[in-house]
Amino acid sequence: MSIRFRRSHEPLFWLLFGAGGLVAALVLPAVVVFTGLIAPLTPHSADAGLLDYARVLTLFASPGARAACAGFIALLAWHAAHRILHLCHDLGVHGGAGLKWSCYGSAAAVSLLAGGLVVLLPSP
Amino acid sequence: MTDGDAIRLDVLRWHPDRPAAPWWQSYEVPYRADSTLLEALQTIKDALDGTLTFRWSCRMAICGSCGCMVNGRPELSCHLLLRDLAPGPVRLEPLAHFPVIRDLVIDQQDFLEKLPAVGAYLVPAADAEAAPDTPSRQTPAQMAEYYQYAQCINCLLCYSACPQYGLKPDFLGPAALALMARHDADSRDTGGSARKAARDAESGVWDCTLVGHCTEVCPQGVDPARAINRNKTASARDYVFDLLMPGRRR
Ligand code: SF4
Ligand code: FES
Repeated sequence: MSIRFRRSHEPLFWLLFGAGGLVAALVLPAVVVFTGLIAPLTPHSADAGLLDYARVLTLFASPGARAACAGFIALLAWHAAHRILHLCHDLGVHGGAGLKWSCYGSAAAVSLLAGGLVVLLPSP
Repeated sequence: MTDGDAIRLDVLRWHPDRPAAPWWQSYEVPYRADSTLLEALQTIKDALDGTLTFRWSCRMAICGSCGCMVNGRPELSCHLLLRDLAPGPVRLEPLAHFPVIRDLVIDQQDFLEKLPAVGAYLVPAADAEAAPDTPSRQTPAQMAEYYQYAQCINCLLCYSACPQYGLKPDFLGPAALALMARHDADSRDTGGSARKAARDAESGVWDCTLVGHCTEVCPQGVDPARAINRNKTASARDYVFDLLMPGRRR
């Protein structure tokens, strides 16, 4: 008896998962350290902190910074979706196509939303 | 320990001709300092209970036929000393994830069908095939590329260790995918393109989630987890190229 093979589309999701993992492992900790420790602990006058509203707004005025931010958010969503799907499988919960669509669908929705906001939010 | 000690083996038994569900049977087996678990099974068969059924051949961890679950872990019974299992009791079950034929004997058919399906054989270049008596030379470095994978003895311990194979039996599995990598990595082989369909399939490398237990239980030091996950990168690369350049493959 010979085995018939159907090509898997997993590489697409695996690559997004891997890229998201990279963001989660490298970019996210830096963001947490900066926003959670460095910024609040840096001595500053009341209205001129490192994360001062005007300062952050200027940063995100640049389309590059906006796109990078949206990209990071999207990749993290794909990473999470893939992990949740595989966790369910490992725990013996086989949601079939429905679970697959809802996991990756949510990631796609988050990506669209993040991408849309980059374009639609008015520049300061 | 001293010679003359005994150890209790609890064996999960099943007989296809009996209506009974699998049952546990205990045997008290004398052993010496150099007795293996396989020898204990042979002692049972020769002296205590001739109906106990198990596979074995080489008694030296090379034929791959004596695998079973020992205290829940896949092992070669000829590769374990009883003194290391003392004081016992030792729980013996057939290899996990396989249909049982009788007692500790499992049905290997699934794996035997997967082996040819992944192209686990050398496909020589046309000129080498035309001159079968001419040696195909290989440098030590070229041999080192595949040598580790070539140590596989088809014992199937890795299939019992793999939770993904347990969940989804059509997964080609650790040894078959390691043997695919073994032939792909051989400088004398030209069969790589024919193996891609199996590699890229839903039941190919993508069913692996890098648990890595296959590599831990392998008695031969084969590293199936590495073979599979290196092939994931290759499979993903081909996927992207095939997407960007339709008609590239075939
Ligand atoms: S890879 Fe190792 S554990 Fe798996 S069948 Fe081969 S020798 Fe046995
Ligand atoms: S009897 Fe051959 S591997 Fe154990």
